[in-house]
Amino acid sequence: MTVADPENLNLVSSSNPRWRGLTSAAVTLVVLLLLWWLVYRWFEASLIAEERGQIAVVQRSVWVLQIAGLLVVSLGTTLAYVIAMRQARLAQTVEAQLTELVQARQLLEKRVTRRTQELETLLRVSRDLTATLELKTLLGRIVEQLRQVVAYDSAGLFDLVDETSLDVLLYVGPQETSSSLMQLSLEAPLIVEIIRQQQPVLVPDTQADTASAQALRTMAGCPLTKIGSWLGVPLLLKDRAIGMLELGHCQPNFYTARHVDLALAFANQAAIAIENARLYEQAQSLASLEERRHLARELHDSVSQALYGIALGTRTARMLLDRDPTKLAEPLDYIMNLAEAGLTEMRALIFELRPEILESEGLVGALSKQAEALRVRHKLQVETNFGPEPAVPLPCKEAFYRIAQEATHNVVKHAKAERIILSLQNGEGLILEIDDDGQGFDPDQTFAGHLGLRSMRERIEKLGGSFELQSEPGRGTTVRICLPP
Amino acid sequence: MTIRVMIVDDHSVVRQGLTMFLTLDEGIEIVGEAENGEEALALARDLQPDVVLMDLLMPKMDGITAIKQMRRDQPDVEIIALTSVLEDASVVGAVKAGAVGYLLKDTKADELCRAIHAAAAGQVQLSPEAAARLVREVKLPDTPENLTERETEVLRLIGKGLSNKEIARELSIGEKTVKTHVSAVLNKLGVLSRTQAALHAVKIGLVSY
Repeated sequence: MTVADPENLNLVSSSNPRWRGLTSAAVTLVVLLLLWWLVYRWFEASLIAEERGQIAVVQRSVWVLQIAGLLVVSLGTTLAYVIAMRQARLAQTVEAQLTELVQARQLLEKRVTRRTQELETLLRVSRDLTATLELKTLLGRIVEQLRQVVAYDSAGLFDLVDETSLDVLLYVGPQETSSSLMQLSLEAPLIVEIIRQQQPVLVPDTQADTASAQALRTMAGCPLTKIGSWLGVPLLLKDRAIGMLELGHCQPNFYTARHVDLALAFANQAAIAIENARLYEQAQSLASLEERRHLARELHDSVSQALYGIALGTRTARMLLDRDPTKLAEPLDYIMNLAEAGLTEMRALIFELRPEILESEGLVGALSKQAEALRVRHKLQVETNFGPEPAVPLPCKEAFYRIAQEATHNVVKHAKAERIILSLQNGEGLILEIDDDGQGFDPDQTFAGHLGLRSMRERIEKLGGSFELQSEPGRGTTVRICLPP
Repeated sequence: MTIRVMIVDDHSVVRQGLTMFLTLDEGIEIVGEAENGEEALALARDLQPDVVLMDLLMPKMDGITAIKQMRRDQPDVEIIALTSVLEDASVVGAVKAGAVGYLLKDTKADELCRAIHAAAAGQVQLSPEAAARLVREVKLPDTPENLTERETEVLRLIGKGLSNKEIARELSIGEKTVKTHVSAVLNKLGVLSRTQAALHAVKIGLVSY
């Protein structure tokens, strides 16, 4: 047995059973004839030699022997033929069974290999996709990676918007469909099936007369001359459809059930990645919104109040100018103080917005400004104890500055403190300490500023430093961060 | 008779500036200052001011909460919300809570004196834009109790921005009687301030801005 064609797995037998039977019969015939002839010769010779006198008996015996021999020969030959044929058939059956087994095994191996490859691809794709958090980049990556899983000529990713329509997020492929498939109604029959029933839809031949092919052409609003085979699967997140992935191939009947499975598996990964990216985007925009809100509040608390005060003071001064100029000193001093305070606060705010000033003014300069703003804005007694400008990289300075900002913000907001001590010392590592005489708190309990504390800790630990917090009710609070040299 | 005014603002510089400016008006006397809603409630009980200037964004207790409580405890005290940002939500909130009006912390300081005098006289002063927005956003009772003819007339005049004295003159009745009618109107409409009553008058078409 040989495997002639490993691809097609056709096992070709070395002999044809008929030939095999005939060959066996011929060989048996020759052997039996030879044997018979030998026996006959020997018998004839011995008879002639021993019993010369009984010619008639001899003649009869010879006839008998000749007939018996012929009978034996033909019987043997037939038997040989029959046995050979049976053996050949048996061999053929065994051969066929073996072929089947080998075929099945090879098919299985092939399937396992292919499935492994598919799974590996999916895993790689999934890893790659989940590593991408920026939505736009991610969408590009999805259609790019999709090619490794399922071949396509056109691909579209759709987003379910407000449960009312499917909007295209990204489309690649011939322009024929892109213009009409930008926004899909959820009422379209195929979309109902994909989104509402969360089922994949396969249109093997877009030009066929089937209901689904017609529905697809109606939905596309064009004859779809460039797309022969179409496949749409839902993007599922848990039990919720968040969108659709559609694939088109120029060749009709290209997509099969296997592609459907692959596309579904891929779509699941893509859905998770899209959701991650969305959440990330939301978190980002929330963070920047929070930042803006903080800035607006700061502006409200500082500059806008100062300006309002200046307006009131100036009005007062203007009126006093006519009535009683000797009283002008009070409003004018008030205006001047407010203008100065406003400027200081503006500087502090600008500092918060542009941390790169840390580079030009240094950490000590920045902390001094912060201390000044605390004095002016919040009427706190601020003691500073700053050493020389430390020689640490800018990201470290920024972390220190931000932590000081967060810590002093907490003091202003929660501590009800009168006095605050800021110190920055560079010896056994760089140490920043913010100490207040406020009401303190129990650090083991959840409280309003705990998120801020966590972000402080994370910030310094990321740089390899340590964070320490000491507080107890009625005893003030000390925040200490240390960056080892 | 001077108008006794209390200033509530968490920024000391603003309190200082307001005091300085308002003292120039001989008809106004600054009787007290508070730096948050809590302090304001306590102080107002002691001082019984005529008008309170109330900042909205304050620590501890914000202005809207304080307005609501003060209107309940001391309905005679008129409150003007004073805010640095025209945040629709907080202005609407202030009027809903019972503020007679609101003012922006801007350069038009003269309006401040005018508004204080108007509030003390029981006049509703709202800019047409503000009134339009407030009518839209302040929810009014759908089925108020029926007002008497006189009360309806009083409501119309409140809506036109008349003070109690002016209403008395218009209707040829005593100022005290006007006050009785006004509180009856507020009660029947289920609102906390004249401003809300005025908005109701606009809404039902008694007056148009």
